[in-house]
Amino acid sequence: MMYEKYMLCKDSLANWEEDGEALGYSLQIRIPYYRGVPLSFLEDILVEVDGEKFTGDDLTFTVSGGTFTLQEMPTITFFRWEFGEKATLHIRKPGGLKPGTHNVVVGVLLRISYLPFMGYVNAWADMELA
Amino acid sequence: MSIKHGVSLYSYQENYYLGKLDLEGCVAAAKNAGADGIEVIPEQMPIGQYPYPTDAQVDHWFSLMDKYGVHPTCMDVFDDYTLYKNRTLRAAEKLDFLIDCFRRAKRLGFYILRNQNSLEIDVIEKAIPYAEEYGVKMGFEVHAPLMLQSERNEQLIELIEKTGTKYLTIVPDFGIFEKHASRVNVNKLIRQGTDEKIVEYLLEAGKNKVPQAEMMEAVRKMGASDKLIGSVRMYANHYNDPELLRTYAKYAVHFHGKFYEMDETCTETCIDYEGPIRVLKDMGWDGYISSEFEGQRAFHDIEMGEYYVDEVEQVRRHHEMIRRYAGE
Repeated sequence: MMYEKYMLCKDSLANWEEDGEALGYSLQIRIPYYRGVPLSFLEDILVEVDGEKFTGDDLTFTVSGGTFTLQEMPTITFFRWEFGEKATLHIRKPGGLKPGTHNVVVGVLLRISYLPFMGYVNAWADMELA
Repeated sequence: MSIKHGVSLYSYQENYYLGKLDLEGCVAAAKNAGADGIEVIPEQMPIGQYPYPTDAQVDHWFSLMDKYGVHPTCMDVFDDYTLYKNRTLRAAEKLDFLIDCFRRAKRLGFYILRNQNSLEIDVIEKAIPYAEEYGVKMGFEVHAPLMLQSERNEQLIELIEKTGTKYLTIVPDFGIFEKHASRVNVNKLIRQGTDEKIVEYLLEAGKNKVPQAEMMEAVRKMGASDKLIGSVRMYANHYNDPELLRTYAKYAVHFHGKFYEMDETCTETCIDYEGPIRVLKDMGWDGYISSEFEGQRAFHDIEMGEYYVDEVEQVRRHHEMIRRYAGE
């Protein structure tokens, strides 16, 4: 495992609103690997906030190349998640999060040819809602 | 005819990841350590737009090289055969990618690629004329647990001898001269809650040169996770006799100077550098040893919090050690 302690950007938790409606929340993660990769390498992202679980279907993933769903990832080779780049996750949760501290856990699964045993890289932190 | 001094900017990966050093900052640090050869993983530290920089970006790269009095050596590429979820890459796709790598490397002034050993021999054979055309060598990394004496290297050497090409080489990684697992890596394993009995077994088995497959089975029986079973290769004894370099170094122009921890006496705490450098010097070998610091990753678990290793200082010590053993 590598970059676990840097994966979750601790100051990045925010509510996600559009047109005055609280759609959910957002946070940022950096790649838990020593190089950038085409998005097709990204197999799964799991998020848990205060014990409530969110899966890949509940979120979108945004990098400099654009915003994508996990269902799109297997066919994306042009757009990349660069090394050190903060990707923004928008997670759907009607009403968003209450102000204050939240316990956040994120798991990222990458498919890397020569590292078949890698598994999910998990990171957790208590994060203040901005 | 003497060993040349390089740094893979991989050594400064954490600084780069956190935005503390940019590409120029990494080049400057390498220069200050005493290196004149610069190795880059373009997917880690892009040179301009990855994978095809603009002409202006290429000019800027060369002006950076001139500014610091250094030059490009090796460009590291990968054999990403699981690029697609539903299938592995075909040989023709791999060859197409490899030819593009030669082209990209040449444009940026690199004269050798670091390739991975999952690449099939028939692809390599087809790639040789392109390597020769572009003037960019292939360099297949001999990375632990792969040994110098291995079927894979036999195949590569057979191909080199058969074709007579100078554009197919091996890139030995100094991790093959590791005497025992690095304590920084072992400590991480313990912090992550690995059963101490399993850790003790791994260290003993490594000392006793228990075959890797047997070690994997033993820890599986002790209840190890798949992830741990996969990392057993780090503990299996894979020390190569430096004298073997008298046979194998003639097929190499570039070594990865892998290291995990330089102590205050500028000595690596688990890898034999003295033996291999003595042999290389005796042979009059004059390629690059390119520092590849990886010890920063031993402190990436969450328990380590704000603690970090000074990558720049580690590389500086690494070069002091190499110069000391090379008698400079």
